Amino acid sequence: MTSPVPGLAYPDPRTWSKGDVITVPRLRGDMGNLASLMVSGRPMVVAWNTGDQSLVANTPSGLALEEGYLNNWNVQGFISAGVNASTWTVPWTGMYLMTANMFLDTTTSGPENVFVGVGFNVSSNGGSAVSRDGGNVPLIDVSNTPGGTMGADLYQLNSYTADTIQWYGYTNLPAGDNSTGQAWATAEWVALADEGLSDYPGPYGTVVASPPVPAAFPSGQGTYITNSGGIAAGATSVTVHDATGIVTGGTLGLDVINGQYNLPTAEAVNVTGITGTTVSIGATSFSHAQNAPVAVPVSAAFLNTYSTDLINFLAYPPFLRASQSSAQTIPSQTFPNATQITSLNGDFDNFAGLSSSTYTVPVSGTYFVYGQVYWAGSAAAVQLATGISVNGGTIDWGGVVRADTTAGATPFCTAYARTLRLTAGNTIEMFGSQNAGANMATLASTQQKSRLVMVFRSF
Amino acid sequence: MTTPSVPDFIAGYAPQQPDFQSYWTGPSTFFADRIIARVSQQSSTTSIPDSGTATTILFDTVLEDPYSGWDASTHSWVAPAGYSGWYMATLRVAVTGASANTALSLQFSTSYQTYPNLVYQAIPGEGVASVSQYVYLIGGQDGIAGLAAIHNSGSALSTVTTTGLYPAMEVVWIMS
Repeated sequence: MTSPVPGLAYPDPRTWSKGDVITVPRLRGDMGNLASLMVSGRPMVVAWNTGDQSLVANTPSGLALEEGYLNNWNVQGFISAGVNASTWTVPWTGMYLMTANMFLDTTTSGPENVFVGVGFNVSSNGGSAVSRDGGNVPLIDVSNTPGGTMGADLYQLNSYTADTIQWYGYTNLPAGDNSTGQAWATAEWVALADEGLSDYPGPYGTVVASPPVPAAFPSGQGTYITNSGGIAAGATSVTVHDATGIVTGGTLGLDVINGQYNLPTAEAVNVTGITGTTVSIGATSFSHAQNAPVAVPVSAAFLNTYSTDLINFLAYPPFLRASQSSAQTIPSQTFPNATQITSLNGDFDNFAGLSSSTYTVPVSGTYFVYGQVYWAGSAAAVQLATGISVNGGTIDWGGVVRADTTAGATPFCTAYARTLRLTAGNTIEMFGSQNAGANMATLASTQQKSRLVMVFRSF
Repeated sequence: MTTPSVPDFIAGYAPQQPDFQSYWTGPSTFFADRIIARVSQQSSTTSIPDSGTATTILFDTVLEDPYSGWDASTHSWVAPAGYSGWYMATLRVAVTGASANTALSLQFSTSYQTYPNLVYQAIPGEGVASVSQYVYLIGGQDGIAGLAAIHNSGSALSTVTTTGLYPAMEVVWIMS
């Protein structure tokens, strides 16, 4: 396997200090590297099962991925037609968002307790591969009717321990009646690793709680003083024509032009604050005339904000995977009445947004949101639902299914998948609803459990 | 405009502000503020026949579309010219009035490919499904639409306009 971008490195931008020389290697290593990563360098795979694969009943069956739409790191031996275990070896360490979709072509009718699900069999940090289901839905009781579902999950994966991903289908339909109609399997590198990996030398991600909005660099020619009558010696603020590139912690050159002192009273002052075009500065030693030139160098503070912080944020944006740690009893209720899913523990929560099963959005923007509730099932006909509530408002529903498993209670997993625009401080809660006429438990085994996944996408 | 290219920091060259605009400010703005479109159907409904035929959801509300890719005539979103690449699409559809043995399936359709039966599940009277899928879109050419099909309901079903249930589709740029 090879990177599609030669020399691509894990983002680890330097912290700039006053006096550092802005060299080409430094710019390439920070900005150029991040751009390479974002444009096309992040490992990503989109693969396709073209159908007619017979699954093993009641056992997660690795999907044979026969068409590689995208495999930009050229992971070898991945696409293997006819082999029910296409395995993708992780080429680069980091956080991966994975999805799977699959539908089965069934032939028989009477699927009174039939389920069709997908999931992920993943070895993480050198451990044994573990199966974790995604969506798992009931079919209708009609012959020759497909059944299909989707799932998503978030993993921290380590290329130094040769971690692997396998996408699986899962059904209790017997062989001969459970051929895949089609399936999709994807994995996307979304962030630097979180913590605690074996052999991986780093870097791990750095949280930037208040990411900057990208800004223009200072103009080469600088700006000029617009205070009427100029500023006096001892002044602690100055108004300039153009504040582009001026940041707190930076430096201004008063009566400096083209890197040269314009007058014997030229001086450098530190920027202590900025509001519009009014800049708070350390007290000047000299007076400076209106229209006097002001040099705006590319300061260490500027680069630390608009290069270092921005790179750190883009390489390590907010993400969450919270899994339910114990079974929860959900009362029977009429949809859309619902119960919050609790006992969610943060497996990965880099911005520490999860508390008491509620995720507080750390940074405004759009987020991919995936939630699933894994139900124990009921022998009675039942409606099962999963939804998301923002700020305690009306629940936004993602999956509402009907199961009629009179042959016996069968577990199902209803899922929610959307991209939401959220504001910092919004609270996210996951809800489940069922109307079996009696309490129903959620499942919390390793393979079958409820979870909430969120990944920041964009401002 | 096009998808940002990797900046070529040239040794021995003294870049000016416009250079840094193309080197970094422009690309980082693009990466931080990705192409996104979010549409929904909140003021009308889509009737989906009981034939199992995938029916385009008639989204009527553009929540955000800064690159003006929404085509109201085809009810699809076209990737902006110059921005070919991989996008993640998400779709949620709810229908009401289903009988006891009805299924709802969702799919995406682009100009060059359909993604059928991404979910296909039994639903109650008020059934909901949602799905995500990565799709490759050619900038300026490729539109993506969200579709739903109803199976075995005995009659056509309509989507709903209720908050929390109305059809919605989102498309966000992932990578070139």
